Amino acid sequence: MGFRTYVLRRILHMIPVMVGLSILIFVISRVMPGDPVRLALGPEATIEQVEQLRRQMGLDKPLHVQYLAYLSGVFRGDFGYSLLTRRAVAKDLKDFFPATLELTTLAMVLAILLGIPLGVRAAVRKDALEDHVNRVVALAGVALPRFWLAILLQIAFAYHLGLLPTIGRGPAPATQITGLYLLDSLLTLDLSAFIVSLKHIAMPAFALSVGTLAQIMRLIRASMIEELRRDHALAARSYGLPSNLIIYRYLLKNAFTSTLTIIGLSYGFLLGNAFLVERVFAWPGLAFYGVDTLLAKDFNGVIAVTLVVGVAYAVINLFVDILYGYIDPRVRYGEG
Amino acid sequence: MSLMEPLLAIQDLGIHMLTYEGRARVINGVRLTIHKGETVALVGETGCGKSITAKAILGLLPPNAETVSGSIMFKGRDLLRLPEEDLHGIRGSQIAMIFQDPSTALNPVFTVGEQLTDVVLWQGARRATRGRRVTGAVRQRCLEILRLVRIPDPEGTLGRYPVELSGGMRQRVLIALALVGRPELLIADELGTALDVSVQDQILLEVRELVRTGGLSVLYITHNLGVARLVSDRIYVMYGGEIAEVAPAAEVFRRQLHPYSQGLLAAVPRLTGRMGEGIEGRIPDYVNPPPACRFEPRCPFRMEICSLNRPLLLEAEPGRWVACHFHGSREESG
Repeated sequence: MGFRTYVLRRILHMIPVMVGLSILIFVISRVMPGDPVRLALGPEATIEQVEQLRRQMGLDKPLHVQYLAYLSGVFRGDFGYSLLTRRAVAKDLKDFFPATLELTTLAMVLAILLGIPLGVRAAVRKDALEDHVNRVVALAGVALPRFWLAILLQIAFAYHLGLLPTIGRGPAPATQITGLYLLDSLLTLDLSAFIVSLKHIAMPAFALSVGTLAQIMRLIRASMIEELRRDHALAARSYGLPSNLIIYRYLLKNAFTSTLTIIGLSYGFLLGNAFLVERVFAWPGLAFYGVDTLLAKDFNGVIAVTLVVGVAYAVINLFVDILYGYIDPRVRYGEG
Repeated sequence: MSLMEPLLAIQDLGIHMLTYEGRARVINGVRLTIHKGETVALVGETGCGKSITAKAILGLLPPNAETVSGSIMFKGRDLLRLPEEDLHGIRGSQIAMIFQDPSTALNPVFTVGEQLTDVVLWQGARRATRGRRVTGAVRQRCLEILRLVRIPDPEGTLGRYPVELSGGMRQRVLIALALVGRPELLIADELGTALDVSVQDQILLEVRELVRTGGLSVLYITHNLGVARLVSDRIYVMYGGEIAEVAPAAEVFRRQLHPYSQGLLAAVPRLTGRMGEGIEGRIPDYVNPPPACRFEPRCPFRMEICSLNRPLLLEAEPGRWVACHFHGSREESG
């Protein structure tokens, strides 16, 4: 099977996943206990008022009709009206999603860029001091609660050293294109805005990335140790290839394939964990917004957030699958 | 030829492996010489230490191995005492190894071309002018070496992953990789064992031809005496980390001096249809090996002395050496 067929097949596999996800989320949101209309209007509202809003929102129709109506709205970019913020959910998403996307993506990039070389070094120097230090730090990274680490960072870098701002996302760059401040300021070559955004995102991104970083580091170490023992590693040495080339080119590619799957899964983990970090840093993100809508039983908000996170997660994993097939030819042939 | 200094001379090699069960004495005083242009076979059961001996030559022993004694002289230098950088200069360009299992010795996520190109580049960069580093020249060299090992469609093969090749083709690629640096000594570990018998014979004959035309010296490592006879001038029979018998290939088949060699030959299946007979017992426990002769517990001719004194490898007849009390009265105490 060619690479193109593989990619196409993977993309087609995503369609049923998306449909299933949307049905599931929609049904769960409707069976949640509590009456959102009553909650939104308050205890003073009359039954007629409640009934009227319910009709207005289409909540009196059968579930499948509601679902189809909702779905057709989604395709038009209409996620309904939020009872919490009292404006279109689509507008809320547009404001909050880029902030979370930026935060989680930067956290992921940090985790990969730091985790891989540290993991490789730990594997190469197995059982040496560096490996032991690495192990303790990794364990701490996984075990520490994200919010606690976040607070420690704030105390150190914002309060005592005064190097970084304590909370918030900072001012938006003059020109907004994607809603990702770092990217926008880069695209418009606004260097000072870029630095301001970077200062704001540095601590939350690091706090968020630590767990994933530790995970990647340990995984790379484990698979690298395995790769170092393989016949082809020994064979490569016997041909007189230098060990750095063998480790960082030949073996890392092998070790990376097993880590790649975890990277995709970790992305979902990051989106979930983002809530705690967003709270501590008052980061105006989607996780923050999602929890608020959930507490307010704001149907449309909850569905939209879950759907967006679900789609983001699926897209990331699609990307990971494609990358996986690109890196490891055995995956493509195993399917064919 | 025997007056000339040998290309490779292993003396009294001793290697211990640190395992959970304890210190395993896997190589115990191995002696082996290879002259220029000579092909030598090291024959023995699985687990007798053949592959470890081979890896010791290239300095590729696993981290838990400890070299406790001996020397490996190659062109006047002791490989065991050479720093890693110098060994690195020898691997591939002076001594190369064809790995045992074609399904695991190729990196699965790189194409044949990518793997071959790197070796060509590195071997080329070390020995010749920068001119060779031109991409076209490198590609030419890759194709040339693939043709040398008789791979049909070398251009297409360059772009393929190991998973797309048959076992025989992978084996040929491994041979190509080992030959890129134009080594003087080639170590072939169980060459073709993982392949169908028909493909195995073909590969063995082709490599024998390559070796003859190229004037290479070869160390074949095999468990099969039949293969050893087909490809080598001299045979070293190894048992339990020691050399049991050394003899010219044809001589071993005419008459075996060591009881283990006799058992090994009897174990080779014949064309007459009879299955070979096995040797009773198992390879020795390396953590607590038999105190004197390591073959003694399995030996049909064992004598009292066999469990008391270790037999030395002595010249029993001109050109034939054997480590057995049955053939000579001289021995070493302890």
